[in-house]
Amino acid sequence: MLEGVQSLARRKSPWIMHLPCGGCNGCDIEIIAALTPKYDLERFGVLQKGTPRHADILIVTGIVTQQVKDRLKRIYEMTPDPKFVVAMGSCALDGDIFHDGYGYAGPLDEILPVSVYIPGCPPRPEALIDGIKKLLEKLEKAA
Amino acid sequence: MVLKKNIITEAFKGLVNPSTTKYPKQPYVPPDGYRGAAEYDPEKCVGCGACSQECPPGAITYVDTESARKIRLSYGICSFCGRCEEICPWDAVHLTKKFEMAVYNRKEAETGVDVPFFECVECGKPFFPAPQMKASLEKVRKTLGKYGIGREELYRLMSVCPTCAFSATNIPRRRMFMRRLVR
Amino acid sequence: MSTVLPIGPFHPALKESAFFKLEVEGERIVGGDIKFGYMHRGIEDLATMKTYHSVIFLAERVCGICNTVHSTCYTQTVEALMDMEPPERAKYIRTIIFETERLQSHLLWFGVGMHEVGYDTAYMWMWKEREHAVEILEAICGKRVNLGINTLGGVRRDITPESKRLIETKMNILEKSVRKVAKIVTEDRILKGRIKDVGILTKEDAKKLCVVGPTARGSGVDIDNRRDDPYAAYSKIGFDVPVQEGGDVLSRALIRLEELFQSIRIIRQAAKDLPDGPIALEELAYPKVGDAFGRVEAHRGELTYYIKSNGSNRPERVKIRTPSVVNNNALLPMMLGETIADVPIILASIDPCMSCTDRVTLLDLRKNSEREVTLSDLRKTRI
Repeated sequence: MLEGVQSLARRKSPWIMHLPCGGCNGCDIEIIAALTPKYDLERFGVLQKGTPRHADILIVTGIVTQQVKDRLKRIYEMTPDPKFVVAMGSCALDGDIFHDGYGYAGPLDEILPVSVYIPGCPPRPEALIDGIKKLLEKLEKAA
Repeated sequence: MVLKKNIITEAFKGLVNPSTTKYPKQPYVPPDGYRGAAEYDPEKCVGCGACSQECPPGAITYVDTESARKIRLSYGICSFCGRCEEICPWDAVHLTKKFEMAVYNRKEAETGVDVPFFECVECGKPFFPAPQMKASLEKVRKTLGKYGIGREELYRLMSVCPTCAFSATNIPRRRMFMRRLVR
Repeated sequence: MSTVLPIGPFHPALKESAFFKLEVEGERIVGGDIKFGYMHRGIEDLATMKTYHSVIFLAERVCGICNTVHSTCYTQTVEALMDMEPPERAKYIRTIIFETERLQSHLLWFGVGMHEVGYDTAYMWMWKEREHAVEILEAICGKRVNLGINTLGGVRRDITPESKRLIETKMNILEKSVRKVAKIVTEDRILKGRIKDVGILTKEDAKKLCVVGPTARGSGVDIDNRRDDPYAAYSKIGFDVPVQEGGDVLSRALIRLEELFQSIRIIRQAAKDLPDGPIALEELAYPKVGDAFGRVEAHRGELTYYIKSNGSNRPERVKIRTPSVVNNNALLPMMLGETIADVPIILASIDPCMSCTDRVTLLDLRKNSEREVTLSDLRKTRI
């Protein structure tokens, strides 16, 4: 019974940390716009924290460059279990318009295990809400 | 003092007339002209490949298999710019209003169309997209009339694959046809 | 003696990845260094592999906040290479979209600046008002960010009578919002105590370091590309350029506030005087062999593009110099002698855009003091 309460608490208050890697900042603006009054993510219990030790979900935007690869792995290991990674924007999926340049070091899921992918350039704040909702549904089915 | 009055008025206004959208309960319909996910129309696409030549990030690719030309647009590389819609001469690609595209698996984020191939009348091997044949014939119909050439005759000449076209029976036939065009 | 305080690539005070190494003694800052390169994507190399029209969409994705600025400057430079002028209606539409984007960028800056000071209520209010400007962009161009309104020889979408009415309604709402912002910035005692006489940049330093944009105008240097070298429809519209003498964070905030009022004035004039006619040229000439140089007044300063063409349908060399590269020079003189607690607001006051900055392939010794990184070195690390 205690586990039911635990899994309910995890589903109803996911705290996020935002990791901007190497993109144009379009997706970063849409994440911040999703936390402000018009699209209020906080009514779903989401809070933005600055340290990986407090976070449940890591939202990664932008392409993975050579300089950022090791630091991403270190931050993923610092986050306590259970943790989930959301790849936001087409840059995190397959590289968008930069995929045949020399600065591109591979798609995100060769470095971290990803749970949900949200394509778009950039995706709307409502698409981000829809993506987090699909992630929480997946957790509910698994519980 | 000014700020305290401002905060109280804003809080009251927010209570009476909230500025948050009611998103998941009430779906959002974007305005006309919104650039969302691209979709192909299988009735109109002839498989010419103009979209894949023009796409700035290179998201549209095509592969020729035994019986069809498979055109694929990957949403992971697409930048939602709208060039494919502007350039398509047959009006077959449109950017719809769809923006909810979250998936659990990276390979599922794509769309495409399969254009069936046309078979050679002599050896039976498929070699060319069928709708393109019909559409090209439509476009040259007026010029054909000037030369006194019937559509069925041209159709018979075009319907052989590259291997059969250079056989001993077909080469003289094509030479006679070209002489009539030049005269 | 002095300890080194690293503010690493992923930090809650930063919205993008950059590394600041500050040397502190107690609470005072005595030196520092900045290391860039986390967001280098190889854009100038990619631009030589695509055709002239495709590079418009690549140039837009240099920075998300100022995307129309990059695409307008690139298009104007290529049109100079082709020796053609877009029609008058296209120039006015470009001006309206440019200034609407300046509105949303400055309101974004006010929100982030208030958040760095700790005033979260004002941060939420200003982002709520910013949504009105973004709704205009969505109705005309079809997207909120990465607009894609420019094409070689004109613009892609037209302003219908409905959009004109929407612009008028939203300008009235935005004028009331900007007056509210003005009241907060000029009358609040606690806010003034935080940002007045902090991060001072003198006029001699500003001229010596060649800073541009609101950073320069806040220290008394009177430069503005829209008035000195007019492009698009700016030569036919009347507007003022604000200049302040203080040189601290409060002067830069007051300049951005005044620019908001001037942008509303420009948009109203341009929407009223919109001429009739086509929105794009029908036929385009081939770009001639040679080179061209173009510049515009971006939201953060002067942005320049240099394009070299060799007669084929792909550019031979595209060089971009963004205003953030130049403004970052001014960070260290502003921070010497200040306390650690003031570092976030000083960083935010020049409005840094790190994704615009990583254009360099040759880093100078003051910034990255390890070694000089050349283009061939960057290609070798590609694996």
